[in-house]
Amino acid sequence: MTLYSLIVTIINIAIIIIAIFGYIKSKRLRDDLIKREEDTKRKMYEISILKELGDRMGYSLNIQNIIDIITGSLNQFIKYSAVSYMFLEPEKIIFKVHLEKSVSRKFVDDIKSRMSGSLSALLGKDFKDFRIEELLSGVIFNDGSDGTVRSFFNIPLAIAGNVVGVLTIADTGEGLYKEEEMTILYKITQQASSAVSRLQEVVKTEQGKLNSMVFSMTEGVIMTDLDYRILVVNPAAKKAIGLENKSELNIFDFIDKLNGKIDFRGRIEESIKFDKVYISDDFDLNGRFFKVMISPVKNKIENNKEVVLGCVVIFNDITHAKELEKMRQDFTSMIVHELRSPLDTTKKILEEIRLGEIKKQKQAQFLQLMYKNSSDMLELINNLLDVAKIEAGKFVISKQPSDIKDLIKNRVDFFETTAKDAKLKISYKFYGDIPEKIVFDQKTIAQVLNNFISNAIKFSKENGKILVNVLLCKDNEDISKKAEEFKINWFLKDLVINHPSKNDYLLISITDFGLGIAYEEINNLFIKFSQVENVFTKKPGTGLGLAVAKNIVESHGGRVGVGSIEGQGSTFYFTIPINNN
Amino acid sequence: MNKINKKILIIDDDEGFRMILEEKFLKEKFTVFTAGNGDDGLSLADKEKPDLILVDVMMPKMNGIDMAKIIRGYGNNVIIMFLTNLSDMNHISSAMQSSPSDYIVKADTKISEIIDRVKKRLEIE
Repeated sequence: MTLYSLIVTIINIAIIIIAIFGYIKSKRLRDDLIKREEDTKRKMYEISILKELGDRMGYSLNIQNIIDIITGSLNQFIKYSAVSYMFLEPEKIIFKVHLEKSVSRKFVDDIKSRMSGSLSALLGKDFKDFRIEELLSGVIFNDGSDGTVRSFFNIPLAIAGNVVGVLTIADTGEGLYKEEEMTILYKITQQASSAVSRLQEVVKTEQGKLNSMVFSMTEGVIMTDLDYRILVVNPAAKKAIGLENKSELNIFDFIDKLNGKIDFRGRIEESIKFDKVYISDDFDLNGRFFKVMISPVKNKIENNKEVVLGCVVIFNDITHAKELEKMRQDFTSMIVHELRSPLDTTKKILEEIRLGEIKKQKQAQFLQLMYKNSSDMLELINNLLDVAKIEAGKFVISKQPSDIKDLIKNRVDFFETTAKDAKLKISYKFYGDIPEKIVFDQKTIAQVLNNFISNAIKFSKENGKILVNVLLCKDNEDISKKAEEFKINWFLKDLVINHPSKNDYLLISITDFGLGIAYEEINNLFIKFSQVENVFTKKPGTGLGLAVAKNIVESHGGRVGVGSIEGQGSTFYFTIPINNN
Repeated sequence: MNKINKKILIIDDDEGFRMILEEKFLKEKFTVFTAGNGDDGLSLADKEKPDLILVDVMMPKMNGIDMAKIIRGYGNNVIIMFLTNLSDMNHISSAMQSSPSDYIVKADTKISEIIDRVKKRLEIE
């Protein structure tokens, strides 16, 4: 009996143990099953959300819509009193709250301040001045109900690595959210974000062709959407406001840099709201002139209806046109000063002589003046005709082997009388073994010499001298050294000249010891009309002669230049490469 | 005819115009001073205290408008008449604000008319 009962007892115990073991085992299995089921459910949820996202998003890149889709189906998975998001727009913050349970106003205000706090922290930016647009949905407030936020978590919303907002889950209950919930929600937002980023990438590639066209345009182009966000901005537009190196520009960059020259924001608003095209007056910005056009961007939908999508701003750089306009004005003012004035004076003098108002002994003086005036005017007209010929490509240069020494002697002789009248001495000198004949156009090189010598006379002081020097030089040779050897007195310093031909060349210089030229004016000397810089400040001459001379010398493959010390004098030079063939 | 007790200062870089004006004013028995640029004109205006200045607007070194502004800056209220070849009067309007001043478009005005205008300003018969 004792043995029997012992066996029974043992069996019972064994059964109990097995039962317990079995129970434990089955519970574990069941738990596992439940867990697995939950996991599956979660995965299914994730997949369904992502599928839904995919379906509903379509090809939309509207991030707010996408967040709405996520939050709209979140209650299937997580318990909460409220789900909300804050989304950053250029000038406002959108705050959307969906209430699942009735809470008090205080609850929503609490979430709101927590969220804007974390948004500032994420972006390192203060949003105090931003308008917060609040959108409420779900059940209504009940101020009698619980208003304390006891469970709460934030998930940053990022697109292509940039934070655009925060998503928040909150509840009045305590300790509701564990890592699991957060991880999954995080995962979903991550996947949505990467889907959007990918879609943006696709769109970007598609836009590539259009963009590269817009990017290579010389006009600055900006396109904004209805909320003044900049969708397209090309390098020319960035350059216009001097921000060519900044990658992301917003409308405030433009408002800031335009500095009130045009009411940028106001004009865009007008263009979008009232379908108006605006064309600005000319204005200057960073030393250039612009005209800006702002016009709405419209898209035709069904029934030939048009919807405004945003606006396009075009910066037209009109600096060149302005320069041409200035040149035209300068030309007119030059004609007025250089032709009308002396002609008018000549006419007035003749009138007075005819009326017998000028005494006989004074008349010679007036005649001399009129002679000088008419010579100057004739010279100007000849130069004008030459410039016109040069511009039309009809300025003829016929090069022939000729004697340069002979030409120099001839020109210096010619100017001797004029120089004497002005109490000046003019002389010439040849340095080096100058070839008997070199190839050049006698007529036009004579013109260059005339221009340089008559200028030297004009700008000389009384009892001064004018030196015409001719040097034979080698390409790339240090001319200053050579001048030192020959003890040449002139105003050229550190001069080394190369010609494309690499041939030896003649350097012909004309030096006066007169007024000299200010340093900052030297570079402009050979530019057409350069000497008429300002209608009030007339300088003698018009610079036309120098422009013609430059053209003639360059047609010979040579160079022109000048060295000067203000108040001491100037040396103008030109070169003629010697053609060995 | 007795000498008119009025001093005229003519400042113009156009030698012919300056000479013909000088000739005519001398004939009308004015006392005349001339200068070929703003710098010289300024020192003559200071030294000789003319009753009226005829000054060309477009001149090298110092233009007529800048010169007039300097004269006014000294508190000198001499009558200034600008001689100009431009029909665009915007340029000299700023200098004209500080009267007494006037302008003469050279090409539209005969020498005898200039004399008459000056006489009128100086209230001479």
